[in-house]
Formats: sequence, structure tokens, C-alpha cells
Amino acid sequence: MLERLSLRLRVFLFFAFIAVGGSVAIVAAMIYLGRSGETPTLDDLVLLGAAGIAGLWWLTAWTWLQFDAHVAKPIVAICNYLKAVTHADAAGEIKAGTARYLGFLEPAAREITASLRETRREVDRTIAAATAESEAQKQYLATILRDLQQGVVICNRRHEVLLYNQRALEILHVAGDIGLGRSFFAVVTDQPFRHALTRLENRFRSGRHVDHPDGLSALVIAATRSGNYTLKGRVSLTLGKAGPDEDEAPMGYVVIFEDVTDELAAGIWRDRLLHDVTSDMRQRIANLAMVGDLLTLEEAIDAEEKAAARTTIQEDGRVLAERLDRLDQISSDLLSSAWPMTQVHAETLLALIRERRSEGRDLRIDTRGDDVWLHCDSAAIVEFVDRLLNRIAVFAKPRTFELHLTACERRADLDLVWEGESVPVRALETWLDERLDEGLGSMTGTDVLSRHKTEIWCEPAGRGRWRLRLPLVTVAFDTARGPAGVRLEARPEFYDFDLFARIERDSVAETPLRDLTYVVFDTETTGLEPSKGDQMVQIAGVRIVNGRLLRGELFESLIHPGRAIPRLSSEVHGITDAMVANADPVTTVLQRFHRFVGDAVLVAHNAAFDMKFLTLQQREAGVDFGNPVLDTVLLAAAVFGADESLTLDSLAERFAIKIAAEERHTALGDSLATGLTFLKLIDLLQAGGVTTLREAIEISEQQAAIRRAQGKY
Amino acid sequence: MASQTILVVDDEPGIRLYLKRLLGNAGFVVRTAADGDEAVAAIEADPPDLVILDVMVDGRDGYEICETIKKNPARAGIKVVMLSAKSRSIEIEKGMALGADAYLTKPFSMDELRDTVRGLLNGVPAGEPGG
Repeated sequence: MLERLSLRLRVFLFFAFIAVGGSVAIVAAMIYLGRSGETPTLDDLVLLGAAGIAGLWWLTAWTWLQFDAHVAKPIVAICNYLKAVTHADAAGEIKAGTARYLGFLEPAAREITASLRETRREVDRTIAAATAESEAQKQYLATILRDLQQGVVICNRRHEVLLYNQRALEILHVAGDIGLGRSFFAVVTDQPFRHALTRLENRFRSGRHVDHPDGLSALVIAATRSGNYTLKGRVSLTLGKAGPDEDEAPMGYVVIFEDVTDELAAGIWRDRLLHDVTSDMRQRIANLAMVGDLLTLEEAIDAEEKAAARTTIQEDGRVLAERLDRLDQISSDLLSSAWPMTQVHAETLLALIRERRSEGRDLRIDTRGDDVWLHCDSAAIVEFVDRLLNRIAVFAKPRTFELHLTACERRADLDLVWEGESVPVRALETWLDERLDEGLGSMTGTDVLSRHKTEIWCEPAGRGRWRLRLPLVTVAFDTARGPAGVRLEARPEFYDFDLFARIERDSVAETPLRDLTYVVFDTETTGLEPSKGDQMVQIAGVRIVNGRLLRGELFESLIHPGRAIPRLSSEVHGITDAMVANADPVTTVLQRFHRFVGDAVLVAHNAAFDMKFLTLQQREAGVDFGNPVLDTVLLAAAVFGADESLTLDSLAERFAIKIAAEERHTALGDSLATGLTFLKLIDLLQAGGVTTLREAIEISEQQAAIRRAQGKY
Repeated sequence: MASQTILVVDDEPGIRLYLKRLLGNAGFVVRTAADGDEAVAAIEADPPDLVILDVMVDGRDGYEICETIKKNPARAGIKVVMLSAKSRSIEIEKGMALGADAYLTKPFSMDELRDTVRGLLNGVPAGEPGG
């Protein structure tokens, strides 16, 4: 019945109740005193007064309780609900009956949020339509970058990575230490780049870049931090305007590079060999010249001298021949590295030859190739073989050819097989001297053979058939790196150009929360008491850069805890002894995790617990997790009040964050859930005036103090 | 047994002299030809038992002369030893594929050549191509 009355009338009734109740108490006391007919004693008056005051206190307390339960609490709940919807776009509805006694407040709040959501949906639709095109262009860019054979990295002036492609990861042989917002110099040696950049900036400032043949780019030879790989690349300055009225200035740089480790090693080897071979040859030739002089002397030489001369001639002649063979090998390597030799699969090459058929003759060409990769200038080979097919077709008039590519040891023989007449050496040599397709310059068949360091000849192929045999070099791919290798899975986030404009601040504490780099992490353990020997069994983390959670830059590792995992713990996180049997020990994993974290701010749900495990063995691992730490429990308590449920599940539900059921209670799944929750909390904190890391830490400390006082922490 | 005849085909006069002396000392009758055409004419005129062919000889090259010899059934019995400064296995393979009985790469020793020639003319397979 009360719920139907207006809110103002109900509030009035509360106060009327106190007034009426108080009055009734006083009147009742007066009647009681008057009815006895005697003058009341002081004791009676005191007793009566005390009873009246107690009644009044009780009345007030009861009224306050009612007021708190039905007015104050519902208002707080509705406020939280409105804040969550407004600033963090939380899903879910206010619980029906939350504000039963507050008249139209609850339905009004519902209407406001519904209307807000509808407006947001409308805005989202408009934005979605507007960004569809740019998304398509982004995909296009991503595809181009992914398929590039060179590594591409774009950095801002602080050398933080704004963009990288898959090839860059493959060439740098890292999959964790390079990432958006991370320093490029964490993976490559910085000196060559700093040197090139200084030169380029000087060139830009003096205006010489306008006429310079290289413009604003320079060649760089650098090494990976591990020192195992050498990179050759080109670094180019990126210009931009800081504001509409500002002049163009360097904003960062683009590096395009490739791995030249093998090339360089081969080059060094060649140089060394050339030096050895040539200096040794000089000595041998001198010996032979001396023997020649001795033998042509007018006076006769004795038997001993003759024998010595003979030994010298035979031995030095043999060694010189060996040296020449090595020189021949070196020149062969040089030739093949100078020409555009590529790796082509046998089937592909055969298909290309079959399809070339430049003179359109009515020939049947059957092909059969082994599963082998060839190292050749495929365009030249295709033209050459096509020419040979046409010439044989005219010369020997076969209607059918068989093309075989048969692998044997380090080469594969390309055989053109036909039935009928053989091709004489003279005819073949004439064909070899013909110029091939115009597109290949003035190249002849002989040039193609010479370039590939091979020969071609005609020989019987049995059953009245002949074949032209052209041996080609095969190549074995390193599957991790070669063109046929397994590519790393495409990363969803590979660039963030907003980092160009990121302002460098002296103090991390005063940096806006949105601009900081975070690593949100979670651990799974053998139990809850590190002081009693419990250990981590898994750790996972995810980076947040510039307000974006980078799903492509994750850390996840099992840990060998050095002790058995209690069954009850295994039931919680699903990690068993068998799963960690081959895992790294905690010290190794901590070192890797420390590299992943860098100087990011650490974030965890109930961070004190995870930090305890993290710092427990940091000294042993030789690392120090002295990074600033934020706790989503404390931040949520500051936003929603400590009375609200602050478990990760209920926060995720409040913010409509969906994590697959199988991922929940895994370190990675919980890190992702915490990360997404944290991003929503940043929005709410900013709305409440908490914008910098210092302020976030301050309110966290206040919450921690409250919780300590309540014994919850 | 009558002396066996060897035709040396090389455009280097020094090599021709050297081989003539060396093989003559070993008991063979040695004739020489300075280029491909002269060699073919000499073979037609009086077929030798063995031909030592420099691959890079002027006119018809060694491969072609070898092919000419081996394609003619009447001459196919003539043994052919190819001499070449080309030492890659593919070049040796090409020479053998065209019918050469042995392939020696320059420089070679006197003993090597003498043994190869003797082996071929005594019906003993030359075995491994020299080199």
C-alpha cells in the first residue's frame, strides 16, 4: 500500500511518524502522571523522562534504519549503476525492486540507461559504417606487410615500435620482446641506428636531403641483441607536423631490413678462401717457374735434381689444380648470388614450362617432378626450355614430350624426353647461341647454362627415345625461415600510430592512466601460502598499450614448482604434475617474464597475492619487480564501494566481459578478464577525477587501509 | 702385336709434342691433329685405336668429334679419352654421356694418362673417370 504513495508523501510520513510518536509518548506520560492524583516525585519524573528519551531514540533509530534501507542504499545502488553504464558502458539491468520505495526513481533510471544505450548504439552504428572503409584499408595494409619479404618496423623518436610485420618477427627471431610501444633497441643493437639517425637528422636540418641521392634514408648494418644474426637495412626518417602551424619535423623512422647473416658469413668465408688460395698459388707458380729455369739450363742436371724437379712439377701442378677448383666454386657462388636466383618447386617450374608454349605448337607435354626445391633463375630456365622444346619439335618432329625433374643428391635433372632422332652436339650448340626472349635482355642459352654453372647434353633414354638433360641445383629449406616455412600466426594488433604523438613525461606517476603501458598478469599456484612453500605453476600476462589490450602480445608459461601439486589445487586450475614435468623452473620463467614486463606498470586482481609469489624468488632469478603495481580489487572498491562484490567474476559480469568458460581460471584467461576490467575501471576512475598513476595509487592505498581496518585484506 | 695407334687432338702445340713424346716412349704410334676438322679427316683416313681429345679444340669441339666417332658403327670401337680444363662433375658427366671412355681433367700426370690409355687399349675398363 505504501509503495503506491508518492515519494514526497512517504518522506513526509517518516518525519510525521517521529513527531506523532514523540507526541504520543509525551501525552501518554502526562496522562499516566495525572491519573495517579499525586504530585509526581523527582524519581518518577526521571524515570518517565528516561523512558520517553529511550522511546524517542528507538523511534529515531528505527526510522533511520528504514530510511537507510529504503532510501539511502537504493540511491547509492542506482548511482553506481548509472556511473557504470555512463562511463564504462556496462551491460545488465538494475535489479527489480532495488528502489521500491523511491517512487519513479528506479523506472526513471532504467529509462535513462535505455535511452543512453539506444543513443550509443546509434553512434556505434554510425561509427561502424564510417570505419568500415578504413578497416578494409587496414586489412589491405596488413596483407601487404605480412607478405613482404623484408622486415618492416616503424618507430617514433623514442625508438618505441609503432608498427612491425610478421617478417620482422621472423627475421629478428623473437616473438615476445618486440611489441607495440616497446623499444626497438631491446632486440637490435642501437649504435648503428643512432649513428644513421643522427646523420639523417643533420641532413634534414641542413636541407641537404633535397638534393641527396638517398633523400632521408641511409643504409644500416646492425646485429640482433643476441648477436646471432646480422641485419642489413635502410632507415628512413618520417616527417610530420606537430600542429597545423608547425613546420615539418622528424617524427620517427621506418626501417626495412633483411637477414644477411648467411650472406655475410659466406662473403667472409669467400674472402678468406680467396686470400688463402691466391697467396698459396703465387708460391706454387714461383716453384714451377724455378723448376722451368733449372730444366732449361744449358748444363746437364743430375739425377737427384731431375727427381726433385719432377716432384715439384707433379705436386705443385696437382695443388694448383685443386686451388683452381676452389676458385671455380667461389666464382660460382658469386655468380649465383649476383643473379636473381630464387627457390622454385619442381612442380611449379614444370607447370610454368608447360604453360609457356610460346610458339603455340600442337605438342603434348607430360610432366613428372619429384618433391624438390630448385635454386634457379626460373624465368630464364622457362624461356630456355621452351626454346629447346620448339627447336626439337622442328628438328626431330616428335608430337609428345615428357618433362621429368628427378632429384639426385644435391641436384635435380630436368630431362626433355622424346622419341625419334637425337639432337647432335652441333645443332644443340647452335640453339644455345640463339638469343632468348627480348624480356631477358640479350641472354642466350649458353648464358643461362653459364649462370647456372651447368651443362646440357643429349643422350639415349632407352626404347628408341632420347633426352636432353639439364642438371639444376636443388636447395633444402630451413622450414623455420625459408619461403616454405611455417609462418607465425598473424597478430591481430600490429600497429598503433597514436604512439607517434605520445608525449614523454619525466614522471611515470604523473602520466595519465590511458597513456601508460601495463602488463596485466595472473598466476596459478600450488596453494595459497607462499610462506609455507607454495609455488607458482603457471604465469600469464597481457600488455595494454595506449589503452588497447594487445591480444597478440601475450606471455604464458607453465612452471615446474619443484614440488607436487595438491589435488585440490589441480581441480581449481586444471594443471597437473604431468603437465609441468617438462616446464622450466621458476627462476628461468621469472627472467623471461621480467623481460616481457620491462618497465610497464603491473596490474593484477588481488595483486598482493600474485606479487608475493612474483617477488618470492626474484632475487634467486636475478631480477627485480620494482615496477608500480595496481590492483583491480582496490580500484573497483574505490569506484563501487567496498560493500559491492568485487570478485573478478562479478566485475566481469558487471562490465559484460565475456571470457570463454574453458579460459576462466587459467592464468591467461584471468589475465585477459582482469585486463578488460581494468580498462573499464580506468574510464570510471577518470570520470571520478582520478586520472594519473599517482592518484590511482593514492586511492588504492586508501582502500587498502580501509580493508586492513575491516580485516578483509 | 703391332703397335697401337693413338690420335692426339689438341690445339696447343706444346701439349701435342709432350703427349707424342710421352706416349711414343710408352710404345704407341702417335699421330696428332691441331683442330676438329683435321681430326675428323685423320680418323676417316686411317682410324686409330684411341683418340685423345681436348674438349676445347678449335673447329668442331671435342664433344662433337666424340659424338661423330661414336655414332658411326664402323668407328664406335675407337676409344675416346677426353682431356679438359673443365673439372666440374657435370662437365665430366656430359663427356661420358656423349660416349667418352675416359675423362681426364687438366693438369694430369704422365702416369695417370699412360695408365688410362693402357687400360682402355688392353680391354680393361678405364674405371673411374680420371680427374
